[in-house]
Amino acid sequence: MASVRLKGITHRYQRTEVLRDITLDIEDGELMVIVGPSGCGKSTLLRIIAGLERPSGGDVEIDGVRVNDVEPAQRGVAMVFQNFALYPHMTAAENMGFALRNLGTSARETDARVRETARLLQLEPLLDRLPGQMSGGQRQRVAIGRALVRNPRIFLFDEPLSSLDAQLRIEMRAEIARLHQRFGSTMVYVTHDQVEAMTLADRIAILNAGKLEQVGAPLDLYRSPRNLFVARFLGAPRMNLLEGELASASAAGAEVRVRGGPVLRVAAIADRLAANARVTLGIRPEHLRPGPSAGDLEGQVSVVERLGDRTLVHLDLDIGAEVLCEDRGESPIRVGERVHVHAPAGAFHLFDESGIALPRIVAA
Amino acid sequence: MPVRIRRSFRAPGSLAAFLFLAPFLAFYGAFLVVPLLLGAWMSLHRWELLGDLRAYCGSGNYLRMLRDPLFRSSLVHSAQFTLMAVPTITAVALFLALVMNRPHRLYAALRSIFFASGALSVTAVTLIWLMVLNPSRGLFARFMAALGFAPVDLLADPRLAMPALVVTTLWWGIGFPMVLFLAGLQQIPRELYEAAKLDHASPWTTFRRITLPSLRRTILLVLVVEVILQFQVFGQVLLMTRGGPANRTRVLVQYIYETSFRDWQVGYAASMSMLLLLVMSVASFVQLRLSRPGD
Amino acid sequence: MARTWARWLSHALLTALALAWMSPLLWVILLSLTPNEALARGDLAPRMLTTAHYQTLLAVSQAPRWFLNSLLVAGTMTAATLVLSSLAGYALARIPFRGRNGVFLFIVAGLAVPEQAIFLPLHRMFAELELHNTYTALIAPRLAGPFGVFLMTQFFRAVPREMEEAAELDHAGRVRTFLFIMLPLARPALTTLGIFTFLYAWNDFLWPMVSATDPDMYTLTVGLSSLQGNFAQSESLGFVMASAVVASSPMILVYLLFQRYIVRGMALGGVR
Repeated sequence: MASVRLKGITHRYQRTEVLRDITLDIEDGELMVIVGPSGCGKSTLLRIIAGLERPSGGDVEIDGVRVNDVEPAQRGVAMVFQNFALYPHMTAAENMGFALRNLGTSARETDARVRETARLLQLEPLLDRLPGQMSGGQRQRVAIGRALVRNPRIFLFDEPLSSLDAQLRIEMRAEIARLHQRFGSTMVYVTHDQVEAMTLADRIAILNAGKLEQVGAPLDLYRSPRNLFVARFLGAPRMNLLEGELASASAAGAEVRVRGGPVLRVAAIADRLAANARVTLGIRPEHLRPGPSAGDLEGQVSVVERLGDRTLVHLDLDIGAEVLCEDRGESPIRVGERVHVHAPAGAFHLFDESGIALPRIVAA
Repeated sequence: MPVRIRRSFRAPGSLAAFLFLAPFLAFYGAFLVVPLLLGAWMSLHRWELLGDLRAYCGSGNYLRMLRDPLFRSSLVHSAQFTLMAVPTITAVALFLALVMNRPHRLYAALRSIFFASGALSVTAVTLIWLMVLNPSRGLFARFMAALGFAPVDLLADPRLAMPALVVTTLWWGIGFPMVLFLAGLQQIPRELYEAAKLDHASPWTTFRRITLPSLRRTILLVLVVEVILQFQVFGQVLLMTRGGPANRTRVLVQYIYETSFRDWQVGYAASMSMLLLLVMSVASFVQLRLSRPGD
Repeated sequence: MARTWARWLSHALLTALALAWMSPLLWVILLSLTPNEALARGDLAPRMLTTAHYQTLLAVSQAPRWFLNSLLVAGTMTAATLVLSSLAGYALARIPFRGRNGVFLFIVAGLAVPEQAIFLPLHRMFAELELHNTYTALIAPRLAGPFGVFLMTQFFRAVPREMEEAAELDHAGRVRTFLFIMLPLARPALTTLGIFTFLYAWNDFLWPMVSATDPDMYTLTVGLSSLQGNFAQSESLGFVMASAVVASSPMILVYLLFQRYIVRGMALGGVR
């Protein structure tokens, strides 16, 4: 068990800055998911924690001890790589035992510990197989087993599910969650998949273009994204955005004039903005309810996607924007129909011109 | 967990790299770089082993090449051989690769047959072909006799000796270019052929518009590789014709060999080696350019 | 159907061509088994076959010695090339150090140097050192060829970086990583390189011919060429052919058995 503290980590490859002043505390026993689009620097950050990469600036601390100059192997971390990086010429048992043997553990003890780990992960039937003779999911579990057998202080996962098919991904996700509950070990998990992040994480750190955008519990981030990037990144389908300008603002709420359209009431505090400031209005599809009449916005249905439990309706609004809204599973809406949509003031998110969220008034 | 200061693994690995590289570099330096420099140095000297003459002569050896009719004719013969052998080998290899590029057991076996003669040493190949071309009892003579022709001694005929060497070389070396062509053919996506089929392309059109353009790079590569190989022809000539008849097949490498090991004029021979090196490295450079994928 | 006929016809034509291609080889084998009297008469199809020529070869000639020389030279050369190339290739592909690109280019440039262009100064060097007619002379200069290093560098470059990082996290140092992870991974490349080197060494002609002048030091390839002088006489014809068969059959066997690796090596050598 261990905590990790990143203090002002910056990293450069030649001229390009891939990480900018990252400060992040990962608590003992926490499952921290670092998520972001590809190329945001999340894997580099993980490799810096592992010691496989040396940061250009800043400190890495494990359990309060600065480890910048400590070899990867000495940091007590174990890593599950994106493509598992199992040694193809070694059996599962040899793969799992390699580190122990390198540390001078006796063959007997190594064998015992490998078997014990294999039992935990139900890997026993695979122990004598080569990676080439296993399925993707089996390889994944052996890779986890290889990490587990060494009893590391910190587990690092680098997009461990990205090479699996959709069904297997869901199963392995649950397996990793179980593993975390069972051992309570500190885990740092990197992914580009926001669903993985939402379902697995104790806390999520959202990384974009080398910058930490927001850190927090999954639902907190979902409910109160700090900026447009986070708002658009979390949640599928994505949040709808409408351009507009501030009509009025008070402690009780704000009114926004949507470009080319009506004035909508928004439960957000926009006092700090000037009148008529340009703003962006955000609304998640599940909060935008379609109906035949009496809505704030009106438009024509262009596409209807029926998912069974719900129906996604794409609308071309009369004001020239496109939005996505959600209806119940047995929605009667057809393509080409005219539809009104409505959302309560409390469901809106408001962002200023630079994309920063304005504080929301949370209904008691 | 003990905390140890990092060792050299991730630090600049100059020492480790040196230790890994040193054994090879020692051989490379001693037996490739040094001979190269020594050769260049020798080429600037009149250096005759008989009588122990060794004197600096600057560009003397190189000027001598210009005036040496034997050198000129050996250069011409090497070029002739190259000009005959390279197109023949390339065409035959391309043909064989095209007709045998099928996933069928028979074709796998046939490919092995054309491929296998490449395993022979030059001495074995020439032995076999000297026998085959032998005018009194060779396979070729019997074949001609069966057709009612008088036996010909190909290797003694000033006009036919060179083509006979080309045929021998073709038989010996078809495997390598064939493999390159087969590899090139394998890389053409099958979808291209399926699309062509849907587009009602005839086999000939398919070959001309899809196969040939896709193989252009491979064809160029094979041509260059074969030029490099064939311009250095030596063993076949030495063992089959010794440069004859009437010096009609004496090639450059053979002349270098004879100048140094028969006439003992190693300085002059070294200068000819340098010229060969120059020509070959230009060709190798072209090859390297061609074979770098994707530009 | 016309297409079926066409297919059978092309099968037949190609098979005929292949048989014609093989005929010189088969004929030489036949000659090596033909008794001297039949050879003297010039029979094309002898009624009786004999192994007499092979017995002579074993009993009286130096061929067995040459065979062992070839085996020793080619074997040592192969083993040494594998060691040197994998070490150097690993360093060039995987150990970052200043000037790495320069060293790589310096070595690759050697690919452009044909052996025909340096055998002469090399011969002088070994003459000065009085090393001709030794195994050292037959083997050592042939270890300078950069092809193996080039091949191994390309191979090691293609190994995923994660493989080494996993080993690093598994407490394996540079040497252990090389020995237990990288080398086993490189087995296909090493096999290809090994077969190539062995074939090349076995069939090597120009250098052993100029370096080994003592018949005791001949390799099989050189020895065979020394026999060619007397092959006009019928008494030794079968014998010469038998020696050609003995010299060639191991290589043809290797070639066919390891065809897959050889083909891959050729493709790599061409498409580098």
